[in-house]
Amino acid sequence: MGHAEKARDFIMDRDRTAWHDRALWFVRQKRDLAARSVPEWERLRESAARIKSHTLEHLAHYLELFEKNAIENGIEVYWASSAREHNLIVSSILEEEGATKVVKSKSMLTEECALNPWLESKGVEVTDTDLGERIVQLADDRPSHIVLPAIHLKKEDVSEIFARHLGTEPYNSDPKYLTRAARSHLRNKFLEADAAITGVNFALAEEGGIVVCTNEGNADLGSSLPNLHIACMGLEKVIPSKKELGVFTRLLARSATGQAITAYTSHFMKPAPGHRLCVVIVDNGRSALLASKHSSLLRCIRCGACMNTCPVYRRSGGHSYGTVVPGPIGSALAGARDMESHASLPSACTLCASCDNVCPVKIDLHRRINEEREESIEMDSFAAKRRILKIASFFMRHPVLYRFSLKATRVMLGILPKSIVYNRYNVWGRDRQMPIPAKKSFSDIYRSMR
Amino acid sequence: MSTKEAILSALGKVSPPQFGPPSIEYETIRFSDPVGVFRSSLEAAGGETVDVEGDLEEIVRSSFFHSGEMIDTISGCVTEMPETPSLTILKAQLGVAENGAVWIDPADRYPRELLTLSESLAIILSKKTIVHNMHEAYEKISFENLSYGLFMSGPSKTADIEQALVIGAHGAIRLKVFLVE
Amino acid sequence: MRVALFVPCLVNDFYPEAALAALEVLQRQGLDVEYPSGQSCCGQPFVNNGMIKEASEFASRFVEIFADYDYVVSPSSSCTGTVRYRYEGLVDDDSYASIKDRVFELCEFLHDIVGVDRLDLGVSYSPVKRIGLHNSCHSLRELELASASELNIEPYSKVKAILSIIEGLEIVEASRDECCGFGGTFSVYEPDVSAMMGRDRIEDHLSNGVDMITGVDISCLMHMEGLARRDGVPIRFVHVSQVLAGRL
Repeated sequence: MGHAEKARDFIMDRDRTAWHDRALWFVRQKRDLAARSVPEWERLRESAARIKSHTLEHLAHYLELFEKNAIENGIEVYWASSAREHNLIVSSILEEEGATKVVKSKSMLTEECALNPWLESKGVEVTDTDLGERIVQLADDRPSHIVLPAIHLKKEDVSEIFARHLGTEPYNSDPKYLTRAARSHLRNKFLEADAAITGVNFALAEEGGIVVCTNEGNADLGSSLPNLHIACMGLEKVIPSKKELGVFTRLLARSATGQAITAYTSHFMKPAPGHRLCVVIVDNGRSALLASKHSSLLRCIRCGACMNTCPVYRRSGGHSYGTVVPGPIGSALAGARDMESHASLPSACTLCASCDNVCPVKIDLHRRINEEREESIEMDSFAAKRRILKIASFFMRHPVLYRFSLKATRVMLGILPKSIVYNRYNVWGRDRQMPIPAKKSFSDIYRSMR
Repeated sequence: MSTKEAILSALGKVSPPQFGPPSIEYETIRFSDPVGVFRSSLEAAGGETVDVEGDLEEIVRSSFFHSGEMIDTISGCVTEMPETPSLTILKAQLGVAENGAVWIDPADRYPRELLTLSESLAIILSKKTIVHNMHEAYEKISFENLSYGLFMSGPSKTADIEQALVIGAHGAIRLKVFLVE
Repeated sequence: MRVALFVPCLVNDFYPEAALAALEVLQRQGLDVEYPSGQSCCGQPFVNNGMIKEASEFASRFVEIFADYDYVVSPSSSCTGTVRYRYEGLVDDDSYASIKDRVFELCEFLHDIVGVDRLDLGVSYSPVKRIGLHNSCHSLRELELASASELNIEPYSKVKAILSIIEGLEIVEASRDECCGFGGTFSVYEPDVSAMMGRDRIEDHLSNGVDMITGVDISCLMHMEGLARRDGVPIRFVHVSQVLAGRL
């Protein structure tokens, strides 16, 4: 099933889709307010784009610098080419410490590598501590948004999930009550944990440390209690120095949720005495992406603004993309990395370019998605569309044929009964009346005027 | 070839860039009343500011409606604490007007987990240390001997349940900044 | 100054009145306007679908047909955008360099080249006509004919500036400058999302109490009109050229 089919299922519940659309548009509006409160907003975006481009151009240099300085700080640095290698490294380190209870704060990279199922197969209990992620984890569901993982669930759904798994009052769907219940349930997990796994928002090359941004404080609480902190990062997360953080910390939360900054912006520079801080740098297709024409995608700082603004995402939901990261950036990444599995995604887009305008690092998203169609049109699943477009091209280059077919269409539309015109193969006609070719085209009229 | 070498070679040459990263050449936000803006920013983030005139400890105690141990990280080092500390008083080194964040560096004075385990946080901040924006903040803070430091803006929060903002996710439920000279 | 009129396929075959109105408005400015015969599609559907070979054929034909004109004006922001921003690489560099600064969407041309102060429309409406203006994605984010709501920039609108010189015309905009959902082949390959987007946009405009919607792109209007007629919504769709020519 491609995106369109899954979107159809989503939209069947009209009211729920409208609710989903309104909820995410509201987040987009909060972003707008935040952006307007910063007079130099557009210049900041330009700076962020240039800093990321510069860093990506010299990525090897900055990564080596990061490793050197991190090691000097007592941080252990590991390198993983693939998801599998990443997972092996993480489980090996856990095994070294005999750690079997892990608390994990949000990391899209670990989702990408499917770390949780791997660790579970090794007998490690993994608790996602981000509230949204914990909700979907308990429900055996999957996140539908990278910043708001449970945006597809209503509070009644969460109430039901918590009643079942945490023993909360059934039918009490008050968000504050539910959040407090999660707080005490997860507090126990934090206290019992023997290791913490976090993501990395920014890795500082000059200073040799990492930065993690959360609203809940789960990365901080998680990493301060046990002796072992493993931080997983895609290799594109490195930035030159703390100076650049000034730009990114001003753009990230405003773009994501409309907040001026996340509640916690934590800088892990050295492990605490007697503790281990391990950073795993992961490639998993990023170096190939860097060498391709879609390298701008690597600027992404995972704010989710493109999802909030995308009219298609809002009306189809994150699950309809079938990827770890959904929405415009998700479609672009999936298409660039594995077109065969995700050929429908670059076409799940009207090329409206709203995503380009909200992206804090000015990725030319709609252009990337459009260019990826040069590849998707060659896929087997697109054979029929390719044929139709080739036929259309032929007709348009043969004006006499074209004119004739339009006249014939006009006549047919006038004669044929509605049930034939609006048959089940007429997709346009499912929701729309057919446009009728004019009796005389403009070129006919112009000719007769002269 | 090790994984590291394989990845670095796939990324291209390691030579340092000729020019450093692009810098900010334009005006960044400044306020005529940074303390006032800090106040409203912190409020927007779910926190509160209290002006301190008189006995600091008394003011702090009376600002939080609860009885219970107050962990004082300012007078001396803290090495022990209960599993659920109810109120911790600590010092922040700097404040940021545009977002109500304060920079906290525990150094060796107290365990890091106190910052998130404590239900309420009383943060003492000198008005003189409030800067306008994050560029200035990062310029002022030295990472020289830094082990762990964070910008904390208001109490912990989440909006993961139907976008309803709930204050107090895993960290502090109440956060007040006490402004001294 | 020799001006050529480029009429997109949809307009030529389905909405010739929009092209007629555009011609009228341009001629009224005292311009020498020609409609070179043999013109065909600008290639947009092929560009949008990644069929570069086919797109190049149409692009080459386009630059050839319009080689000798000072300006090429089109009642379509999406076609104009395709030529200006997507012909690079589809035709040789010289041809591209030559054509990209000569193509204009109609309102853009009237605003930038003719100038709002020198514009002569000779149109007024009485009683006051209240119309919804649909800002298409191409007009907003590609040609930048008006400020998009995502950006922190000084608000402006070339289209509204042009329309504002008409007496008796009240222009209202939708609450969201969101895509109508046409997206070319998107309308048939993602029909459910497309229809919902279109209906949402119509409802948005309707909530302003208008019974007529105008815009610079006929494709958006055609898509919304199809939906409105199916749903029995009594709302008319006219191209902005028709509003400018007083042909409502």
